[in-house]
Amino acid sequence: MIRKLLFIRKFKTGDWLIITLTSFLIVLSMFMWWDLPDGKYIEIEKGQSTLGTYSINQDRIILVDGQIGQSQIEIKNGKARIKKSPCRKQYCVHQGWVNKKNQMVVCLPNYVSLFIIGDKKNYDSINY
Amino acid sequence: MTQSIIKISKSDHMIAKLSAIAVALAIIDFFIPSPIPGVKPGIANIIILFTIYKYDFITGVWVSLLRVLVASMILGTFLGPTFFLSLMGAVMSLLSMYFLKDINKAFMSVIGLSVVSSSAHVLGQFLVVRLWIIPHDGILYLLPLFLLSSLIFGVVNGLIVENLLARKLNG
Repeated sequence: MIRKLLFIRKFKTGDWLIITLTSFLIVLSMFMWWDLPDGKYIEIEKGQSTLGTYSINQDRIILVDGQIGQSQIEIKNGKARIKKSPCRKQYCVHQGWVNKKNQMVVCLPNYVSLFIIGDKKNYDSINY
Repeated sequence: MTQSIIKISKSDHMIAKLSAIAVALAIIDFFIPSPIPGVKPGIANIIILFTIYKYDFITGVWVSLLRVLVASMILGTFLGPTFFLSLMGAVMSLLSMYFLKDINKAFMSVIGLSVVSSSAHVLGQFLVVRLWIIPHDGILYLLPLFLLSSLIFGVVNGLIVENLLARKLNG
């Protein structure tokens, strides 16, 4: 058992140095890129058309008539979610709250999607 | 029949043999299932590191670039985006090895070199992805995960090379 653990001895000072440096790089990149900026507005789309842009700081419930029924979108405490949806699988409801810039919730069966945007809209390609 | 002008030296045969092993490992690598697409153990790097330590750096460059070329032809990704990702990764890891290969062996073993080269591979690929394939900052969200996997597999591959070098291999 102890003989098996002897491979630790093969690590020299420089190896430990490099492992430490790489770990530092990993932590640094986590701090740099895992902290996405919060969004400012939410934009609701039905199919290809934009239904409206709402501030994320104003609590409200928006009702959207989609392709197969009515979706309920809730904005609360700087976050947004699809609260109720007529779709069968309820993926959009289970995704829960979103508040980071460029996040989105999409309900494909109902053609309803909501995007979190910062100061301006970043384009992405989405087509029904 | 005209005589072949190109003289095939012993080292050419050696490069061919080593490249063949590297290509085989790269293809095994391709078929290993992974939870995140793109996170791979990079076992072909074992042969590159082994070559650089056992023979010399130029041989390692040959083996590495031949591996990228031949593996991409076999897997059908030649000149596609995957090919350029693989090429950039190989070039970056070779560059990092070039700068670190002459460090005293008593100070740093092949494990360190393995970790550095696999990290350089990941960084090179992210450079290509960010600048060309998916020009969006969102892709950098994955960088810590890829770096972590490069650290883990770098250590494992380094230990394998260490064991390979300690053995007497014939042929």
